Amino acid sequence: MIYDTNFIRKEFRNAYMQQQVSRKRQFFLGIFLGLLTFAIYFSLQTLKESVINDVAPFLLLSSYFSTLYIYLFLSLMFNIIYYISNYEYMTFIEVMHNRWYTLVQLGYPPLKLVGSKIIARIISQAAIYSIGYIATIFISSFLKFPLVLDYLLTMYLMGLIDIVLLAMVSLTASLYMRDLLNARYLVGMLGIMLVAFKFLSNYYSILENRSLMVNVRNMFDWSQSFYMYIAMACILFCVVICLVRGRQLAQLFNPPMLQTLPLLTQKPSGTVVLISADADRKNIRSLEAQSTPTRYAKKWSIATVVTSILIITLIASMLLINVAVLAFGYASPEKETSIYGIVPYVFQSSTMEPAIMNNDIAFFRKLDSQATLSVGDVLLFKDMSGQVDVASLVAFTTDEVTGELTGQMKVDILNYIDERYRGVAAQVIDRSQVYGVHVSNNRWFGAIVLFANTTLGRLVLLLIPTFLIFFYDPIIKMFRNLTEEKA
Amino acid sequence: MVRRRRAAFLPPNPKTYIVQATKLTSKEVYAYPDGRKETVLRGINLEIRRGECWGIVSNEPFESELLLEIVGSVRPYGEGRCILVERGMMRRKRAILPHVFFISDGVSLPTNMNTLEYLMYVTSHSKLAAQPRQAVILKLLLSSNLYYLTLVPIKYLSRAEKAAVCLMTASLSGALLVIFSVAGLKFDERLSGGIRKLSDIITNRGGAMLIGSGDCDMVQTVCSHAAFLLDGELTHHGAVNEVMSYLDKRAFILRSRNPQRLATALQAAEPALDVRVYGEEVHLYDDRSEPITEAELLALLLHTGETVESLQKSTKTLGNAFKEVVSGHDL
Repeated sequence: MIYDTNFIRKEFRNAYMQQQVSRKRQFFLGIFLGLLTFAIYFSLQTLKESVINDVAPFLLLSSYFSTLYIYLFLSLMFNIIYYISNYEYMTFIEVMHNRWYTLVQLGYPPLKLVGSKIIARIISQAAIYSIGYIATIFISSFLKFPLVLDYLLTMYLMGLIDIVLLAMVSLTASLYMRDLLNARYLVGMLGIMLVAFKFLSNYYSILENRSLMVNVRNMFDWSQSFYMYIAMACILFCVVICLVRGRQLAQLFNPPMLQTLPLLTQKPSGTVVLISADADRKNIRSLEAQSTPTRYAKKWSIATVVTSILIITLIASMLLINVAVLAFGYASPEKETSIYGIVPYVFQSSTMEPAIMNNDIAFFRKLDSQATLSVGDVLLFKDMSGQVDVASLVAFTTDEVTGELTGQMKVDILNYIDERYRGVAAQVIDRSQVYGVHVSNNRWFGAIVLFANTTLGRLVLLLIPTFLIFFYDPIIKMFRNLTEEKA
Repeated sequence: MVRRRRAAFLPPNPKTYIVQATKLTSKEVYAYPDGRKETVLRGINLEIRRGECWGIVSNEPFESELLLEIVGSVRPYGEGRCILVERGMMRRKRAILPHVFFISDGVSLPTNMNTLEYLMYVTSHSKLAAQPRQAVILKLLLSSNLYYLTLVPIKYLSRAEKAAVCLMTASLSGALLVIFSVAGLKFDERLSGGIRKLSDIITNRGGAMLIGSGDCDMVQTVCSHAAFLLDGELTHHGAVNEVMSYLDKRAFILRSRNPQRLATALQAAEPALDVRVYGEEVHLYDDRSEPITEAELLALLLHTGETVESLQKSTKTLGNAFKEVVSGHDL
């Protein structure tokens, strides 16, 4: 077998031993992204009758547009994670580790190395993105959506520019960050900043609009969003920086990044080597070696604190949702049980709109028989057949002869699809049937509870925190191994 | 640009010095706990010619690493003069020079290749086609006896083996001075033999090699010249054989159940001998013009009435010579 590996081939195969394995991985990563997009699309469909439909209707359409929109976001997130996990192979950090030293010594021009690396990274990431994009279209075709070609190209370009921008920013950052752990955090932060910048620049308001996406020029319309111009300028700027700084670094022997100072074996304890006679031994940057190893206390950097807070918040919120779902099961309207006098009710009907929307969580204050009611109150009661019902108090019934209150009341639903039938669902109930009055409702919480009751929701909200709690140590060790420089 | 610099570089004549360091002093200083300061490297004089392979052995690995970094133009020096290949030294430090190949722990290799593929990868810019190039590399692996590394993925190599692979790339380059800074590494016999072959390739084409190591056995196997760096100064230097014969005075190693009694008896019988006890061993040092022979030693043992379990004539090694120097004997 003749090994004909050159620099560009090595770049294309990423961290793998064989080119073929790398190609297969790229292909299957693309397919995986397409399938994941489809899974998310289907999960979102279960939330169609919830607040999601009001705030992000473009995610729930029976159209290629929705699946592709989800794919664009997913591929950006995937690329951020991919860069963080494969940082050592995908960025210029290898220049800092003198991995190009022998190449330059043996005649490779540094500029060619830098240029090849940029091209290889962009092509490699764009290939995964394109495979995923095609896979998403292909899988969506099974749903027999009407194929509208007009926005396919525009959406493809939008996603591609994100991938290129992320690649260039990560490559540029790697020329200034020597520490692998900090560099990985930086890539994560840059990814978050990119999404935030898209929101600020009105980018999503164009991307969400199918009619605007039909024409690619809308993305370059400064009056609508300046994102594209800034993104293009950023990419160009990063290319120039990479070429200049990358070339400069590739021509140097870079000192190794040491976690601890070299040890002096023959000198008395407490001896240090200073960088010059004038240097101060208290300044850590002046030290070159030491006789006794420094026992570093476990440092809590900002990055580790932020990560810890994020992980704890994530676990806690997931557990809270599970607790809430359990509590709602306990305090159900059917059993007439409450939590601190409040009965939560997942309201799966549109009969009480606009007071309570479909799939909202509605909270009812539990009433005793002495509580006063007034007209307009939304009441929780059990009808004559014992079924839980919710309706608005229309009037108190009076005796036709004496005109006195009978203790009964007329209730009716608020929303009739056809106004001609208003009053059809009205009923007269006894005061003793009423045990709750509506105090508030929450749309987002309703959607979360709805999601928590789906199969994917159970998997995400139960398995992930359980996994994180019980396998905390192995996960931390895995990440530590990832971030440690391989000798 | 590197190619241009390489072209601009004129090969020196065979008698030229590759390294000429005169009264070289480092900028770095030791700061002792009592507040005293002392320059790490002081008054270093080192001259390396074409075709020579030098080993710098130091009891303080940091000192030999520092010296090699200064010579390799990775670090600036304080006072004195250091000339590389009769062309002085670049003011700009850490720049990759076409005539100096610096190998240290700081050079890392990609872990997703095997040794042969890595060597093919780093030489891919050469004008030679892949097939003959691979033949050349395989020949190199065979001739250096490091063929057992050929198909081993780099991630499974030890640090010493990785350093040897780096040296192999250096032997494929046109660098005139190869600096091999491996003070913290230990090389087994097979690796040392391989490094010897690679060093021969470098020196035979008119280059020179400078090794910084604490592994005396490797230095003895590989180098033509050795220098001892003790407390920041080059105390002894010269051809390896000369250094060994001059500094390693141990003549015999005797094993006994009662080494202390044996040592006392031998010392009493022959006061001119230097007798030292190391565990169960008794070492005889002989600094006389006519050293003691096996027959004389046996006669001496008969005279004292002592018995020994084994008697071994000591072969001279660089390690012993270095130990002698470090322990302050024969100075």
